[in-house]
Amino acid sequence: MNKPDFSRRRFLRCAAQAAFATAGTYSLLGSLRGLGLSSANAAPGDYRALVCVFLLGGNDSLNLLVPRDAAGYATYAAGRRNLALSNASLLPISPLSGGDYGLHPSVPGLRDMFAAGRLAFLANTGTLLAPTTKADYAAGHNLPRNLLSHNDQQTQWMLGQPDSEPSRGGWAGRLSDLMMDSSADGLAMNVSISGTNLFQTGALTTAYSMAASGPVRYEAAASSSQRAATLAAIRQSAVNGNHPFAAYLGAVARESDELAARVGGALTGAAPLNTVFPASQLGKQLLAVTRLMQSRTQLGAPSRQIFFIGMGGFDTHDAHLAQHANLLADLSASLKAFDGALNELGMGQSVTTFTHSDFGRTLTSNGDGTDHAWGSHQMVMGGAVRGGTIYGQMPDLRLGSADDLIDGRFIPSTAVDQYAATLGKWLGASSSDLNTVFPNLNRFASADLGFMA
Amino acid sequence: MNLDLAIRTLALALCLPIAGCGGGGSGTGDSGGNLASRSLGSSVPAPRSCAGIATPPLPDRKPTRAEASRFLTQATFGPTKSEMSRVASIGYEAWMKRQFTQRASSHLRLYRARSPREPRDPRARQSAWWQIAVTSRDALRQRVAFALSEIFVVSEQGSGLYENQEGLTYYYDLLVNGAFGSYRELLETVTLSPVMGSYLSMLSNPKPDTANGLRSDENFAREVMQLFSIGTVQLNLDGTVKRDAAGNALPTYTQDDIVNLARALTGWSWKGASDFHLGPRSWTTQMTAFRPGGRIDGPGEFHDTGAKTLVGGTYLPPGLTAEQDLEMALDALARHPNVPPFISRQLIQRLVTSNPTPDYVRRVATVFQTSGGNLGSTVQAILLDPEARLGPDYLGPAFGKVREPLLRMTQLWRAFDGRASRLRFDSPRDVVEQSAVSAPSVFNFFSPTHAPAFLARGVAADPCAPVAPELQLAHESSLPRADNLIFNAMARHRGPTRITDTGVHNVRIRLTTETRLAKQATQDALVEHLNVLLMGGRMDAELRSQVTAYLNTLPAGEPDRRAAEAAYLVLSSPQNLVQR
Repeated sequence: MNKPDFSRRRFLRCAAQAAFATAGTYSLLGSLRGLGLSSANAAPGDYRALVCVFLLGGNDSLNLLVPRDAAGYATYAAGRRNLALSNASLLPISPLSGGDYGLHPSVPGLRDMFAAGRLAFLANTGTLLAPTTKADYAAGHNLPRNLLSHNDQQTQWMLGQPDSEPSRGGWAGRLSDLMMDSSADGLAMNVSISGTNLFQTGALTTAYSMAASGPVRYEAAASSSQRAATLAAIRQSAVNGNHPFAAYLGAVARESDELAARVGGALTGAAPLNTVFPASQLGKQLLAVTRLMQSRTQLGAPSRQIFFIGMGGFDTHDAHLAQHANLLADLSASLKAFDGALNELGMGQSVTTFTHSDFGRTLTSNGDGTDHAWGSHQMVMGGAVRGGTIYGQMPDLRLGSADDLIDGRFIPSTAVDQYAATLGKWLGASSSDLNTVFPNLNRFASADLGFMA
Repeated sequence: MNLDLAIRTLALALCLPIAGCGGGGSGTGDSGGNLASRSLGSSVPAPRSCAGIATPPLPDRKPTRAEASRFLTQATFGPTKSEMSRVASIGYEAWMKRQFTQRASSHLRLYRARSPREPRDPRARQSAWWQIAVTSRDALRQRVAFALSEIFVVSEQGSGLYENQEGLTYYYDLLVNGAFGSYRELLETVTLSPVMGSYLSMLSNPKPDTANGLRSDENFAREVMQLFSIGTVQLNLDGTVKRDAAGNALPTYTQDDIVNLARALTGWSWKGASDFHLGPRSWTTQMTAFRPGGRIDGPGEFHDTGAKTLVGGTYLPPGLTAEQDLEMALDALARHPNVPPFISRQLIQRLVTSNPTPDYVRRVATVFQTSGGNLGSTVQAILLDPEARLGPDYLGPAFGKVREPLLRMTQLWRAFDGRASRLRFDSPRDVVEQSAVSAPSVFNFFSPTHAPAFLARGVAADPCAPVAPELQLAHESSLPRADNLIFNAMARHRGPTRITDTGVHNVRIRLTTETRLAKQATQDALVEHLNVLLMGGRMDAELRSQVTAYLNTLPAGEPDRRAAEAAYLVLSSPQNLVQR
């Protein structure tokens, strides 16, 4: 079926082509090609998706993954003071990598998945320009800009290359630029359930955005074909017109209008799930992702996709213990349900869910909260994950240690670039793609951290 | 003269015809002038410099109605027919002068009128906001206050403040009352408000407790510098970034500066609190320095009286009171050279255009500086600047900003006399995903640096790369939601606004003028009226003919329907979504 030219990604590609053709400042175009991944003919089994759950505000991973051995716990408690979880309350885990650790008492779902080998931790990960020591920090050597600042650090995580510019796009967007057949009909490779985000914005492609409740139709177009035709013509004039903002708005409106019925229909037609999701925002968003994956054939989705969900509230400067417990309980229950639903659909091996977050938080307390720090532990979940273990290097939690900048803010030992590249490789990006998207990768010991099977 | 930004942006806008994949039709732009796309496209140079552009003088005459409409789009929540006539009749400056002396409307008063003794009624706060945004006479002040609420951000979201709607209303009135006053005073007012104190945890923030290994909370100290005063990088007066020889932006402050500022701002609690942490709480009075045992002099036990060195080297000697430290700390921030361009540029972006030229920023920042940080003078400079008044004519597509969802609704209700009965202006927030004081975080609804990647066009290090912050709110689910709200308001205007999935039941609009014009033999006068009222006269010929052609398919015997549908089509158009 030939559909009219509607996709925003097509629009963007044209914009970019013109830009490159005229300005000649950037030659990604040369490497633009489809990987034969375009939707319609992909075998149903050949499907892989990444799901990013961005913990907005900076998750306190130091209270998520805690040393339980006597010496380790004592060091943790000495730094954490009045915010230390009691050792007895921790949910014990036995990582294959060794050591004796416990998880926050609110995350039994995560503990279960870890024990089942479906979840792994990636220790002390963060924004780095190169392997960095405390001396480097003191000398201001090779430091990412605006460390400890929410929006800057969110941006740098999303870029997957901290010294890149937002104008080059986020790492999912850039992967999509390289991997997506932008002439293909159907849903975009990137889908957001949390609105517009840099993570999925590429130079040539961008995300399709859907609310957790499903696509929204234009009532004005649905109620009169004559009016619908006029609206379409007006939109097209804007797309062809001379103001880039109006052109963008016209293109988004066009895509929204033309995909709403198709997406809505596919979602409505999908078989009901037995798995029950939490009623939380996150639960609803993960359910929406599940339904989109379930309907991928009807949607003409490409066989490689990346989804984005933002979960807010992690900036726990005060009322830390209570707030963080609530957040983690939701995160654990929602991820557990998502994992269950994917298994129900037989997609457990096809989908990998992972966390990002602005930064970690101080080991030290400000009385009833924690402040902004740097490195943090992240989680990767799914059937294709080599789980049940901790990857990377846990920080030395002693205040003043070689890992501690000040007040228990730890220098990351693994770079977001390595983390993202490992995920990208599993998704199917070639090593040259990965070096294009993550140009700093070769500064680090390993481009593949080994957590994906 | 440097037209690079205009050229680059214009070339981009014309790229679809160039690339040959636009899918039919070429643009008939309204301000492209005689700049031919191909010659432009091939002459696009390397990244433009941040140099300015010669500004034409303002014409010495009264504004036309269309010009008045454009002005009111920037200066208010949208033109009303009567304000449009007033500006056209007395001119911009006289109108502003009246506005500066207009009595400030109080949200708290309306809140309490609707919900007496109820501190946690979110509908009462929203109702007050809409009532005032749509109908109040102090329209300039209210629009500036909203802009300030997107700089000095607090929110009912992601905080405990949803339960304190009365406090949020009180906070908003602080911005309303301070909208034309001194920046330094407003900074202090905001700093000492319990809502901000709670939102960024300066409230009940004690000095470090070294014996127990506890630090002071750094939340407010960080964000007051990053977001409310000086920003993360050093700026020139024109808002461009200062760089070292290697091209790296120069940071404004260090982590040490944050720690010291946090310590300087310790020791504040609820007014009249008997317990530093517990209060009793009062959300509608400013915080005071906590004085245990009622001591009125000498440092309180929760204030850090040690010496501190702040950003820019300001030294606070040991032994100062909480008030003295706070005064000196806020003075140090307010006199930082970043403040005039940092605040001026953001106000320009909220009111006028996303990508002001550096010259525009410099002119406004200079007024900010010479007026001692007077926000009224700054706003006047922003709105009377040749770039604000004539920008589209000489900057072309580089000029303009996207209307936020909230501003799309105020535009509609102001243009068509939206009125609610019995103070029940119910909020459409669930539909448009935006309501006053409900941003997801202190970083507001959108990032000031947000730019869809295509805008930046791969010019990686351009310090003046164009941005479109409000476009962050425009995606496949938000656009139809806002559109449905407008469609329901317009196409069914004969009854109250009826929305299928939310409770906006009480707003009535009037299309008397429009219906009268729709009775004419041709629809040209109706469309031109909407062009002036809604688009400030910037509707292009293509949109005009599309709207007219559609109206001609509707029965001539239904002028009220023609009027409503015409208004909907214009309001809904992507062209109108860009405020120019």
